[in-house]
Amino acid sequence: MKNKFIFYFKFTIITYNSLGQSKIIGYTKDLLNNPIPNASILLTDSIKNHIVSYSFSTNTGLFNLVIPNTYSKYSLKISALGFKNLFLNVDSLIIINDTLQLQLLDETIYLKEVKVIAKSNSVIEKNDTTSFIVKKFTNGSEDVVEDALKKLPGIQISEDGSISFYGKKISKVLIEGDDMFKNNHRILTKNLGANTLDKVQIIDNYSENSLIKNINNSTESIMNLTILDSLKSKPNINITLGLGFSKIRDVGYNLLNISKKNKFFVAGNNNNIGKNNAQYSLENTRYESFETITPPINFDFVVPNLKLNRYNFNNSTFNSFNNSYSFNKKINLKTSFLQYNDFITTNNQTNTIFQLSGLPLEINELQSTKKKPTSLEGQIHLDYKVNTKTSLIYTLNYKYEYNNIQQTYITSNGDFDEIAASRSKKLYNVLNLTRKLGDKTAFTFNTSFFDAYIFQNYQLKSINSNQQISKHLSTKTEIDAHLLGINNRNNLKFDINGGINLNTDKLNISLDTLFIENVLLKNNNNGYLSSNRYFLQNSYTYLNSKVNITGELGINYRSFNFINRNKGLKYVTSKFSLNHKINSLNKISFFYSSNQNLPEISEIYPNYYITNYRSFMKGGSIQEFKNKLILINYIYSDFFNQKIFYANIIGIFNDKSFGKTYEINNTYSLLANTVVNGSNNMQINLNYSFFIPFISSTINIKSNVSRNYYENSINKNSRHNVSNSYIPDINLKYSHKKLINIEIGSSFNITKINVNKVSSNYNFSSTNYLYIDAATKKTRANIKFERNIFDTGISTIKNCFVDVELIYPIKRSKLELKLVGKNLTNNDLFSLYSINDFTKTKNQYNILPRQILLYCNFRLN
Amino acid sequence: MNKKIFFKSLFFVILIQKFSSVEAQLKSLQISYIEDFTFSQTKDTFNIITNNQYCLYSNVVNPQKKGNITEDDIDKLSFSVTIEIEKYILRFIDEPVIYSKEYFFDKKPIWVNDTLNIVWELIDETKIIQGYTCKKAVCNFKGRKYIAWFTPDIPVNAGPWKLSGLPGLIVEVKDIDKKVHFLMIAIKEVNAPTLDKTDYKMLKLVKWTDYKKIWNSKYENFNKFLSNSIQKEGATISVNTQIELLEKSLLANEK
Repeated sequence: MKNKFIFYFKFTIITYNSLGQSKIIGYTKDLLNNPIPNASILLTDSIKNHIVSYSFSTNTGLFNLVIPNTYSKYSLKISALGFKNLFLNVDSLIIINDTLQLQLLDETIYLKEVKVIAKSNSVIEKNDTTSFIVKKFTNGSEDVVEDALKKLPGIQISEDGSISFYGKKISKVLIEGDDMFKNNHRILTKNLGANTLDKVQIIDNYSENSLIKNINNSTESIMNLTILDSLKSKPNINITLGLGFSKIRDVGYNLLNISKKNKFFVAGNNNNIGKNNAQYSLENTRYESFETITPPINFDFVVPNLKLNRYNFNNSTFNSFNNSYSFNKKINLKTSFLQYNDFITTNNQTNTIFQLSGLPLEINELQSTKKKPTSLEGQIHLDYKVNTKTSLIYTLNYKYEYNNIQQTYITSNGDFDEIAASRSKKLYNVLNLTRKLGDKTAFTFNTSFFDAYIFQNYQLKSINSNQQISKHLSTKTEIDAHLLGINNRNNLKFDINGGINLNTDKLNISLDTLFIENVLLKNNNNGYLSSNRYFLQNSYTYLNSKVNITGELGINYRSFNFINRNKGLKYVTSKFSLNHKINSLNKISFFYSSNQNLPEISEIYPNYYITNYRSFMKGGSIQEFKNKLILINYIYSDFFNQKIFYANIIGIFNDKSFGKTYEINNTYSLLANTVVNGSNNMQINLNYSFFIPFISSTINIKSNVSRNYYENSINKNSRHNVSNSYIPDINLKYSHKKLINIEIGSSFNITKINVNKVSSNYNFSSTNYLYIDAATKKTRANIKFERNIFDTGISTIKNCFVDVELIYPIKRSKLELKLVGKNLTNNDLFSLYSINDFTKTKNQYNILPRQILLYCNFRLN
Repeated sequence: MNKKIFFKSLFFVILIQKFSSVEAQLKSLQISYIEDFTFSQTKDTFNIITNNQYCLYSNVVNPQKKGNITEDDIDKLSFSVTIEIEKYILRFIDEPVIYSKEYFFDKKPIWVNDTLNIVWELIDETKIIQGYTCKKAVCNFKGRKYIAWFTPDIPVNAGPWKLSGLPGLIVEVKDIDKKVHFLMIAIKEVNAPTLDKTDYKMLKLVKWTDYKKIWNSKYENFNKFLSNSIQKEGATISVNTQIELLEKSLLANEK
């Protein structure tokens, strides 16, 4: 009897002859004989198949139902939320004098998950989360996640793979809620196949630490990718083989496995077609605050306004392993490893005209560079939830980099050879302890230690021989503690924090010059900077459904010691932000901050060092610089009517700054930092996209206007420079049933520089493009046309590119063939003009020749 | 403290306590709809929560929930509300009465209780909407004639706004003038807290018929105010504002 389901029923049909109707009375009950309220009782005519009458059960499970007295076959359906449907056949002529007792079986799985059906719901906005249903926006022509992201409204991807949403930077990309990639999400977005995606979610006000996610006041925005259900709990392997003439290749693999306990993503690639799937260069580190630590000579050049794979002569290999393993509900361990090495060659020719009165200088250089960077990085991240109130997070990161560079210059002043070998080791440790002191308050304690060693050996050979050896040792220790809380009654959040930053930098640069007469000149200089900052900050946030206001005030004391000069100073920092959700469509936010910064050691290094075969640099005097930042952001997003507009205004104001003081002559230039009146920068970005139904097209109009003011001095003439640039962009996307997609657009860049209120330099460039993507039931073809124009008002340079792609799936979602033709017009040079306040340079780069590759993509799962 | 604010706060404190209790969670359905009113040119989404105890319609989101939240979290927490709710219609399953917040051109709500008596006429027509096989029903309600499509596959007595009373979930509703349109866009299973009916009885409730009187007298005053404002400017134009409401029957001259 115990678990055995028994139901018995007897009918009572009381006939009301006067109305010509009968009535069924009964009770709905569950297995434990508890009443089931609100069950639906439906009487259907089995012959005519329509609903005759219906009723609902009351709190006691009682129901009564009217049955017409006409003869027919009826069917009674009893259904309730969480129970199995019960069907009974009713013969209206049988009369049983008892009450109907109906027992319904439990049905635990009712509706498993959100079932989003409506077409208009390709975007779901809920509180801080905006979710995009990926397949609503894609058409199958997308290779990797990044290609799919580019098609989502409001999301922008820059050439280096960084992502923004409504102009705000996305700091992390999570996969199924797990942050496996930290700041280097490009490993995922540039390698994982686009066809694995289910949803893309943008989460605002994200907090990594789950214990304090409702308490702290985060302004971070992140992206979470969810994978199609059909791909979960089993490994998904993708292998790409792309081969072409002249030994060109693009070979890659990736493996994704998502299960409850274990997630891992392994990816690798080797190519010599210009792609950088790791998007990992020696200037790009995972920890932004340490990005400034680079060797004195970096061999940078003006990056052409072109896709990387047009000008990047490479032979890159990268392998990456990322894993997240949950031992139990308390312990999660994330490990990652990245290996990257490359062989990059660059050939470019530059013609630089100096626009300085009294110095008719023109430099022609033929520059040939070979770089061999290697990077190894490993990370361990341990998340230990000690109990429901305490958590411990520990991160250890180690990175080793090596770069060997050979550069040859052929110039009108002679030939120069440069060789540089740079090596760096960086170690980063972070420990975070969080303790909840109740439901509404928490305490966090963070300590981090960073240690870096950067070595560079540089040799310059011309008539004389020079050797410059630099050693930079940097340590940063940070300790801080936060008391966080929320007061629900008046919607107030607070964060009281204090801490210490201890930084030391030792920079030693020795420069030996061996003159042709065998005279050796030795220079050995040391720079030492230590700075300690003690701070106490208070931050309060008021929030309700529409408004979120935060104010922060910090008291700081900084002491620093620079080559035996000691100084201590007190200062106040402040922040203010306001986010106002005007209604479901309109949002506005305002941000203000005021801060003081100490320059880096390389900016104040007291003696000259070489930065390039004809340039020397030295730093300025040590000084604190005050700066202010203002940001206004407005968003109008109406996904239903497909209209999105956002605008932001950014202003950065420095009361004092380092101005460059140049001494330029025919053979070399000297550069020193001197303190000048503040520089400032204003930017206005507008972005509007809207759908026009009668041409089934979405139009996107972008515009960036910026004004940059800075002071410098050249050959003892002080200069006030204003650089104005205007970058409009228009783009139209047409799609017909995902079979034909056309994208056409133009972007322009107009830059004008005034020196001492007199027009100095002007530059105009434009890019026009047309992409056509057409598909039949099986095959898909992409054709891309691009045209670039550069104009300085004196001469014009034009380039035109054609790329074609044919995709043929042999077995859908398993095996695919792709024929790719790039740069079919076979341009071998790309020219552009670049300007600054005193030079106008024409750059000519060798670009990758015509490429034809046949790809074979395998997918195993 | 203003008396109204005090009672309002008291109510919400009680409500929060009710909602924040971890126990007594009811297996419920959360159904999301788009409402599109062409007469007022508004388009919005909202959720209803329905279970064996009640059916609650609300457009409330919780502003305090931050961080890496799953959709489940949002749904659970959409109850722990500490702010003034803009739209709120509650019906306990065992009585044909709704408790709703009503407004007159401002944000001060009036709690109204109204006895629902929707007489549906079932029409023998079937249509597939959002993947569900739906049956047709029509009714006259608050001055409009509605055509509803409901699915017996989801056996709940629930629908958008104040519409309910069909043997299955209402998936789509349109009025015959095509000025009102509700469409279900998502459905999921959630846990929701139990509600105590006595909390609602404690509220200062106004009957629908009384609310109609209050509304119309306010509306009359509003028209007078407009007339006066214009007359003060020296003009002698009579004012006759045109207004269309979701509930047409609210106007004195409508039945």
